[in-house]
Amino acid sequence: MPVEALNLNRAQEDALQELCNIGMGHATTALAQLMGKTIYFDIPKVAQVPISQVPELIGNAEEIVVGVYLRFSGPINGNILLIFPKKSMLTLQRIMTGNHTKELIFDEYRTSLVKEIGNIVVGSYLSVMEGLLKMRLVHSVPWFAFDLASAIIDPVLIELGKNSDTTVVIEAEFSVRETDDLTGKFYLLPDSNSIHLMLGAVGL
Amino acid sequence: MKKVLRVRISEHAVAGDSVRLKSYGLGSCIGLVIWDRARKIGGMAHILLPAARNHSFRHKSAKYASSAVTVLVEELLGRGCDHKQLVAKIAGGANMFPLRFNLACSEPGTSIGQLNVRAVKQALVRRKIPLVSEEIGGERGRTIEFDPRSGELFVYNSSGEVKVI
Repeated sequence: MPVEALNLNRAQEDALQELCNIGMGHATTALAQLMGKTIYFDIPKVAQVPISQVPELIGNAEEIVVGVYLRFSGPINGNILLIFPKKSMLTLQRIMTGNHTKELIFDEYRTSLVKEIGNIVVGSYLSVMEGLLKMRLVHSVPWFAFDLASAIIDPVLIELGKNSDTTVVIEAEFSVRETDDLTGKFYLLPDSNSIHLMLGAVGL
Repeated sequence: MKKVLRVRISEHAVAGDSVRLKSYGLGSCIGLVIWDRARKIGGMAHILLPAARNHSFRHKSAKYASSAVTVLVEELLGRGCDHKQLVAKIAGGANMFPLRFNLACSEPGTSIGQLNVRAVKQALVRRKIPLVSEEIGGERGRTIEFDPRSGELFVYNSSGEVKVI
């Protein structure tokens, strides 16, 4: 049966926010080491929304973005999506490869570079979750897409939509401040039946 | 400018010839249009999944392929449309992460997009509505816009190209 709206209370929302906050701290540190840059991130936002409203939350419906998607599983299951605007991806490619290009190129090398960033961010994020929630988690290989943000999120919503009409979206924006244009967004969308397990693991 | 009505995931809308219907960013989702050729009334549904996992649960919405066809047809008939004049068009059903082997699917070698397409086609056959055109599959997202006056379905792909089906 589909799970009804979760109706998280304030303490539960705060707990999810804090879990993400700690996870993001480690994930951005790993990314900073990889890039040799200081990375900042905003305080994560937790939202409970109907699945139909998730695309608008992720971004402009007609904007083409770079997305890296990973699923994680274990006692809890869920989806992590990294979204980079086109401009940020150009900056990222410049930092990582040293090549100055005006056009975004996604050959095998650059695609796997972006995927590897997904691996590193998600790997370090999940290792923090494992410690905090006291459980083993594994993640999938990263999948790459360069498309409309709302189309990229489709496979995630399909996964979530099987059991529920609403979902929890935990969002954190990160950026490199010394360059003009490098921002990215981290989205964690736990499966609906995993939210309470996550909260239970921290005593809520 | 005509009024444009946005149809989000799991939603549907029916409109006469003064309104255009639009769905943004169809990935593996399906945009289904059913149109009364004589009365120039059309409906659009933004379908997420092939079918409800629990069949006893009757989900009266555009979320699932089978219920989406039913919901649109009933609403069109309720607005005085003639079943014999109804035709369908579909777009979407892409595989957004091509190398992602079927985590989401029960059937090996099939993407959720393909399963969605198949489910919509089966539902249309059951309701005896001819499918007159389609723009499906591939690995790119699409945005669609339907004009009930002309029956034209504009399919924009994410590279900015447009096809009218």
